[in-house]
Amino acid sequence: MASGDRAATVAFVRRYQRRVFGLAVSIVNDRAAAEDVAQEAMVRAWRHAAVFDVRRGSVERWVLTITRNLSIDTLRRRRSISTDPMSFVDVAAAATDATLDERVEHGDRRAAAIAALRTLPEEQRRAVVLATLHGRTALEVSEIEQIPLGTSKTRIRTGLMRLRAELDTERIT
Amino acid sequence: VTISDDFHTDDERRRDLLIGEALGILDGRDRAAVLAHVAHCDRCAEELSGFVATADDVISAVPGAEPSVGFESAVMARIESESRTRRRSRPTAAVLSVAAVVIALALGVGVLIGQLASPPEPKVAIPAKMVEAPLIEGGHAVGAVYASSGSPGWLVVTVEAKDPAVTVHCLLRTADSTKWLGTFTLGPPVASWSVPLPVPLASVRGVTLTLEGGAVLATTKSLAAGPTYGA
Repeated sequence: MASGDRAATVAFVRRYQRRVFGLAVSIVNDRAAAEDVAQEAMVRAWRHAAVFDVRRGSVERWVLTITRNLSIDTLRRRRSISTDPMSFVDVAAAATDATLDERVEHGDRRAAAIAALRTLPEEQRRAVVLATLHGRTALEVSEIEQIPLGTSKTRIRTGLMRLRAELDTERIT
Repeated sequence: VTISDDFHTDDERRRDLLIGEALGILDGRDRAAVLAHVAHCDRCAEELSGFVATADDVISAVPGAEPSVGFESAVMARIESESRTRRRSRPTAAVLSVAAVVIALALGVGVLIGQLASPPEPKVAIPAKMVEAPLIEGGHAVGAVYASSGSPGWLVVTVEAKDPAVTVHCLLRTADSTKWLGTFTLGPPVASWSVPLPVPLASVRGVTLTLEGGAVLATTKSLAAGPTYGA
């Protein structure tokens, strides 16, 4: 690897490593396993950089999607129980609560997503986070939450549609 | 009844399928049906994009966390090791193009790949067609392959996972050749993998999955002989 390429790759790793590791540890709930996932995600992003398609969104979202999928694979291989699906919302909200509204007003997408998640009834929020972040199917959510499959589907659907409406409003204003 | 007609008869199920696709939690058959449908339905394609964006927003909302001190070195060691292997086995130009893209990524600049400069082709409401065939390993069905028409058409492979995970190559058999479509990792509990179909659906004969070294893991009979959905 030439020195210029190395510098660019180091910059890439430094730019995304906190986000990638944060997502991995939120999903697999184990620092050592999350480091393995995060390393693999960074290497895969580098390996497949040539086929990254800008139409699919930002680089950060692409790298985070790779991380999310690898984290879910790890959870399924280990058959382990993940972290409480609500915990990241609480942690993120606690860290930003004082300035959340202000950040949303300034167009901070991350803050807007946290704020939108907090508008959902708790049972919908849990279902949405389990499905979105942890890759749980509606059937798995119904088993985890001990609710009928139809209720699980409704919570995921209604929650995600409400979130979408909230975030679309943010995009417009 | 075509896939498109069927899709719009039950609005809750339609939304559940679009959400499932956006979250990556559908099984192979539903996934193939959604991909076949949105290739021809602007309304559902737009709705799917909205759900994908919302899911991305949730994922992006997770706060960052500091990995251990040796993280960066460990990642760089792996990348440099792989880079050396690539240089030995590939032309220099290929390595340089990857490096250029990494530079662009590091700078936060999107990379224009493919046909972004061309306007998307207008979608017309023609019905999609999907064919299905079981994947056979040792005389037993271990999964299924779904292929749909469209621009592009899609091929979705769903197969019982191996534990520990194995690397699998997907080969597409057509009337006059066998094409390598891609490589994926088959891990528990069930693996689903999809890829745009590089040839017209009518020319697809079947799919073969091979392991590293070339041994056949599973294969389909003719897709044309299996169930067909849509027009």
